[in-house]
Amino acid sequence: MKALPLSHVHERLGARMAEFAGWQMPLEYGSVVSEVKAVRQRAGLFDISHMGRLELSGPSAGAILQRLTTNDLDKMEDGKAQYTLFLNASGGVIDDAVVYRLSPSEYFIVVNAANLQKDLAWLGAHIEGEAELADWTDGLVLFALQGPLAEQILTKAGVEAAHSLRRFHFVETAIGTIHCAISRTGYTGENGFEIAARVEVGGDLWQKLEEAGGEDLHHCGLAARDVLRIEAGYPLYGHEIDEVTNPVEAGLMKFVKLEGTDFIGRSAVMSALSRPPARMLISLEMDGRAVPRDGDLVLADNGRIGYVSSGTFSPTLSRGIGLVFAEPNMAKQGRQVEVQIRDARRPGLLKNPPLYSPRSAYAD
Amino acid sequence: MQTENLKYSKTHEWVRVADDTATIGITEYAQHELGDIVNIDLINVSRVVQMGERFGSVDSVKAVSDLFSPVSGEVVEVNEDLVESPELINEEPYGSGWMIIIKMEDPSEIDVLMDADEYEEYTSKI
Repeated sequence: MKALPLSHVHERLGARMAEFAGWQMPLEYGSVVSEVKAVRQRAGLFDISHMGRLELSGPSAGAILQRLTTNDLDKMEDGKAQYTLFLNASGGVIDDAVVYRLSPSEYFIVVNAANLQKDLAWLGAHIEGEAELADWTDGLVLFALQGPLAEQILTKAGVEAAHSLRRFHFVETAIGTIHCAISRTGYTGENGFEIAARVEVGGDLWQKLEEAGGEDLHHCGLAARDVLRIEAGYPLYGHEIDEVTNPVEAGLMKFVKLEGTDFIGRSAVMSALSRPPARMLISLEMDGRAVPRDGDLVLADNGRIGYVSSGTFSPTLSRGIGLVFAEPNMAKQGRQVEVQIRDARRPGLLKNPPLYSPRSAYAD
Repeated sequence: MQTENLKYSKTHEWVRVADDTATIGITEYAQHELGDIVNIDLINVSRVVQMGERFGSVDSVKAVSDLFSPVSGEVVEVNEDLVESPELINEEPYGSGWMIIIKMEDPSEIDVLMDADEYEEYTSKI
């Protein structure tokens, strides 16, 4: 099992650690509920240095990525980030990722930790012309700073560019003397940033952010991260997306540009669009505190209509919540359902995501 | 901290006996292991449980855990405050976080439970 570069820091902070994707990760620092509330009300700091970080560079890098990803790379400029999908030939999802364009021939790709080796092999197998693939995962730390006070904290840390940095854009800058790259991106649905720096300065960077955040900044682990992304309606690989789930079913067609250049999986997606999907992803909000769990069946009119792909409790809503795959004619806003939670049936409502939207506006 | 006059089960429930009634909850050790408790489901008043039988379950964010009765008898009271405020179990596991009260069929059942020292030793070896 791999240890994060800052694992000693998390242990000192009293984190309860757990295994995730081959990494020993901080699950929580004492109270998942407090961490979720902190991100929604103030700010949270997450160590997500387990995520895979790849670099594809060279004259044909753009063309290779355009061929392998569903979103339109031509829409990117230097300093832009883009959420995209890698599909297999059957239209199933190999991974979801965020691509960062440093220059027309230099791309940084953040991928799921669990899929790093698979993604390296996939990209490696499709290198044509002049391009180089590098794995930066072990060389860089990656932190997420998320919440309504995140921008204020970054500004306090000396990042003047924080205020004008637009959503899905990034800059290379410095916090004090620590060189880093900061993007306005995140997985919580809040205004927030992700900050990358070399492993050697990771500890200093973490400390600088803690100092700038003070009482307003809460350490947050993977458990809180999972609650927040479910509140925001974001998929997690292995739950809502996998090699046998296509973007139509997962509700991710916004990130699939069929009218652009060809990409692997394009014809499979077009074929999928020509018939009704077998199931559709939608959010679930329970009527009370009962907690839906992964795999729980979802019922309507006493018949099974779907299942829970991700279930948890939302401290923000004080209710059980989840993501559900349901029959397309049932996966509709306002559909009353029951969830079979162990030996009891509990009432809930299907809703279009997100279940929670912050009011803060992003600088745009 | 274990409170002296309580008895404890191997599944981390405590019992406070008064005449033939037993007030039951979960221990400090249990609430700490579970983390934030976000929901509780408890058996209804007037149901009868046997020693070792399930009387409910608690949800933390990541998992659900069953609750087992240390004694047999009829449930005469259930802590309704826990419905809206399950966090009381984390905050005061021996006080406002109490769960159910049972009218004991056989008060001698508590003799097989652990006392404070025995429970302390038991948890230190887990």
